[in-house]
Amino acid sequence: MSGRLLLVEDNELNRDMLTRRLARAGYDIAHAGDGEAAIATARRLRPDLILMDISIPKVDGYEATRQLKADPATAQIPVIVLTAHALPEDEQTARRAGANDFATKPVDFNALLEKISALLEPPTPA
Amino acid sequence: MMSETVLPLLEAVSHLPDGLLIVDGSGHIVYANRTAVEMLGYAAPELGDMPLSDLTSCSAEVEAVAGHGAHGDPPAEFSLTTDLCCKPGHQIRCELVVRRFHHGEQPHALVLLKPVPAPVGPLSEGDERLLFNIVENFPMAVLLKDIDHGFRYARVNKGFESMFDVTRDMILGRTERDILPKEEAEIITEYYREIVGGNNTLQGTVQPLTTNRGRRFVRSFNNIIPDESGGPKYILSVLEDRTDEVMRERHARIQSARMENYLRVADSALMDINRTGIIVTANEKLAAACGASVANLVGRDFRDMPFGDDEHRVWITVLGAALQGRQSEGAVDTFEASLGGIYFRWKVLANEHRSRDEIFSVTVVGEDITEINQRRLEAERANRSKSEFLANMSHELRTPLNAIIGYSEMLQELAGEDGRTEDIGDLQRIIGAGRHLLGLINQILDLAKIESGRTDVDIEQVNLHELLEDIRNVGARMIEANGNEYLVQGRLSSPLFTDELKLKQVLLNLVTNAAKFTQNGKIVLRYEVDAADVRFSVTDTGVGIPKEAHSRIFDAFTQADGSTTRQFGGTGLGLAICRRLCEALGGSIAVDSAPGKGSSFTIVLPQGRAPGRAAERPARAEVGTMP
Repeated sequence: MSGRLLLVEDNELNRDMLTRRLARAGYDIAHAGDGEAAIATARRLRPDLILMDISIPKVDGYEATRQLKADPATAQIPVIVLTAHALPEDEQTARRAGANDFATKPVDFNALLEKISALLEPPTPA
Repeated sequence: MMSETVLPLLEAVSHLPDGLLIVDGSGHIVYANRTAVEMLGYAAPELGDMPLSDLTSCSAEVEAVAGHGAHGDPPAEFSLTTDLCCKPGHQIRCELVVRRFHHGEQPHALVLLKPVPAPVGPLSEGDERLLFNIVENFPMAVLLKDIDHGFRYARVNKGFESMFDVTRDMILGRTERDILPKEEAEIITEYYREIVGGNNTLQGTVQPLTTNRGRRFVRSFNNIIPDESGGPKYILSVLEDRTDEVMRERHARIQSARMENYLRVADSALMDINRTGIIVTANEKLAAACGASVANLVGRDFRDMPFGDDEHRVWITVLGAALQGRQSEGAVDTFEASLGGIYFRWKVLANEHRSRDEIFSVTVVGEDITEINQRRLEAERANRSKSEFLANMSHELRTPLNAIIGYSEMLQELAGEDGRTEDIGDLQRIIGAGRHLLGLINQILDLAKIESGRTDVDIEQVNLHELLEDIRNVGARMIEANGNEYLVQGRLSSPLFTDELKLKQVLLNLVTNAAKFTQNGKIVLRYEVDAADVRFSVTDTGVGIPKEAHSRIFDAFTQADGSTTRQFGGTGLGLAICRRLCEALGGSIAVDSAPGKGSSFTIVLPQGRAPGRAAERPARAEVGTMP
């Protein structure tokens, strides 16, 4: 596995844990701790995929996702919303904001890796 | 010589109210004023030079006054009453006042003609009969009372007999005292005395009379008939029966008083509006809401009432429809809207609603539901804050749990890679506990959602075999872990309609429960689905539940006893959620079990309806129609 992921996460423990586990899985990780930083970093670094927390300072994850998807420069970057907001309506809101996929915390790490690789390597036509 | 005063004088004489003739010494008329000309019917030229003897047989006396009579010394003035012959060949009776005067040397007679009413001549026999018949058949009661003989009845007609249900033989020569109660008779006698004395009007007031035909309301029209000397002889009385009118008025008065009482004491706000939207009736409650008096409100346009913000439209829509006859016959429209800060549920009905043209008025009745609405809003608010609390709690618990499980999993991987096998088991226990905590959080959220009524029931046709296969797959690990055998058997004789996810959650819970509490035994899932009922049961050969615990196990955080959790794990929420879900589907769940004999849980659901959904209430400011 390879690729550069932008991990948007304001909780220090979760950021550290996810960074280390994703790194062990072979990904390069960039960080953003709030919504504004997420948008700026995404524009600057053009990551291959974004893992987006929802409850983050300044601009929340839904709004950051909307803005990234509205900007042609970043619209093509897949976004997986990764949040502790676990109600069905939270997933609907995330998908309406433009998220490509949705995963809840506590995260099922293997399932998350599958979602990431599915978005990074679109199935090639047979 | 004509002074300036002579001509107006002549004009005045010509218009005297009495006829005036001037007769010369030869007995010829030399002047007749206009009144005399009109009275006698001749043209003025015809009268000039006409001998007075053509008009009256008493011409000689007049001529004598003028000086040429055969009488020796005639009087200068006299008067007499005589018949004058008028032009059309009939006579008028006149008093002639005659006075002598001299014009130059010639004596003349000035004659004033004053008509006197001719005495009525004797009636013919035919006339009398006609008159009798007129009075006898007059369509009102007619009576004649003899004033000099104690107001006794002298004559009555058929109308009188019928009004009092008496015959004239019974009452002629008698008085009111003989046909009416004493007090009524005295009032009437007193009234007759007063009109004879000129102390009361001839038109009487409506008087209640107790007759043989019951209580009648009668009004009299009276006149006094004089005797030959002009003194009062009879009272002629015509009686009009006003009973029907009086009863109608009384009924209307009672209705109106009753209506006013209803309006005054009603807890509801009430008003009637006419076809143009003007308030014609209003009560205190409505006036209070409008901050006006009833008198102030009546006559105003309902559109000027102090409607709540954004509620103008619903008023205009509902009342407008009723005023225009667009309400279906007999319908009552309802809506909820505030007025002057009070929250009402309004009902609107058209009166006299047979066709569009016949709408007489529209009645609007408002029930004060401020308190009900307040409670409703508070309940909604409480529910919202409860939901928000739960969502926040869930979020806050999941965030650290993510770190706990994530780090543990990572350490477990590292321990495996580094060959530290002694740590792997402990790390697995941390992960297990973390997942258990996650299960608890999920189930508490589930339970809270069901209890707050926020669970939508989504009825659809269920592919039962697929659903049962899913349960087998998901539950397989737990079933096998305790060495259990799992059987599914049943009959599907009609398509199953219910909420698939909820049914699945319940059945999975029952199957995993059974697997948890059964060692090396048998678990059987049975189903029976027909057009009316849906029945599932999950039976195991496990530890069983003592009878005294049966009623508790469906409560939240309860297992059969406190040691169960330690021995078997679980959150104690599973069966509570099952019961709530079954109830949301309109069904029920029951247990049959005994210690050591295994357990059997049975759920019964109705087919294809959604009775668990909260009954819908009318939305605020939204129109609804009650049949």
